[in-house]
Amino acid sequence: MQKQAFKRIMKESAPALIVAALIDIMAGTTMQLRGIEAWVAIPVFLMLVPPLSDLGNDVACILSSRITTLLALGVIKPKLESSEALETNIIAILTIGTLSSLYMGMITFAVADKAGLGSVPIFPFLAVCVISVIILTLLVCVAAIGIAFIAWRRGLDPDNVTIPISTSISDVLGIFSLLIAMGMVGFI
Amino acid sequence: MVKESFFSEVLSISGGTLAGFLLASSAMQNLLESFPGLLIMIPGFLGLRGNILGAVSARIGTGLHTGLIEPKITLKGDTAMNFVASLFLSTFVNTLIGVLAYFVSVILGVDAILWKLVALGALSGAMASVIVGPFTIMLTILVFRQGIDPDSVMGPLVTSVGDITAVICLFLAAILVG
Repeated sequence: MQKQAFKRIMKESAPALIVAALIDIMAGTTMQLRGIEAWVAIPVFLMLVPPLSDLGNDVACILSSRITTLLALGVIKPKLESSEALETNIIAILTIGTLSSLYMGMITFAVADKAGLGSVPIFPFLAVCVISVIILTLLVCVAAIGIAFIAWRRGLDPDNVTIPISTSISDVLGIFSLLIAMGMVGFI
Repeated sequence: MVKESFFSEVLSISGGTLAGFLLASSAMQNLLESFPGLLIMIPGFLGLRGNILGAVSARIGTGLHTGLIEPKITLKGDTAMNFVASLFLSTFVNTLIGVLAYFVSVILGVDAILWKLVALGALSGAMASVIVGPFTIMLTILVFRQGIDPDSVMGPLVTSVGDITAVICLFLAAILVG
């Protein structure tokens, strides 16, 4: 019984985790392309990588499970059409994201400042945090909705498949959004 | 929804910031510079702990709700099986990340050493699971005993604890690998 359960976990989780690893390697490659020297030169931006990834993952998780529930309840259909339920969720997620990005910016700035990890002016730094999270949230919304629709149509388990895939895609999008925001504010 | 989620976001971001602080610390900066290819592995390391342990706490949570798992803190039966499964998966996937990072390094012209990246992946994956696995299982059971639904609190907790442990284990494994 336990042997069977073990096998089932392996069979269901391993393929999704392998795909997630492949996608996460793309996030790592994007970081490497910027070069270690550039990251180490202003370490405060390196510090943003884990919390930004957490934020993106949480948005992906919340949205994936809500969309799956909405699909299961029949409130929305797995088609590209405007729906009030979907729009409400996206607006709520954007609000949470923006508020959280301000918190992320302030706490990261405070810790980095105390620890002497690169001095950047606070307002441009907060701007990078807010802009990157808004870009990230919008991109993750598109990705999570797309993946949830495809998974739903094919009857895949949302816990074992939808969430690992959309969270690793959100890692790649997180690094992208950070670099775009840094470029927009003028840090690159 | 905004209120509930914002609170768990604050928790999750605080953990992430601590992990970020460790990642950006000068010891880790030196390590990143002296270990070519390591930077490519970072997002994978950070992500997978949450994925694997999130699934463990979800499964234990379901087991507790349905009565298949008794709310006792032991490493026997189903809980042991879940622990072994997470240990196996995270070692395997982290090893894979090491191999993939090596190939990317070759393409990008980074001077990486295959066995070092693979050893780093396997070691840190196993270490992190041995530390966070039992912690996740115990905490899920404790939370359930308090009458709180593990599904609604364990997610962000596991991600942040997982992130911090991932960076620490990566550091320890890198020292061991040399």
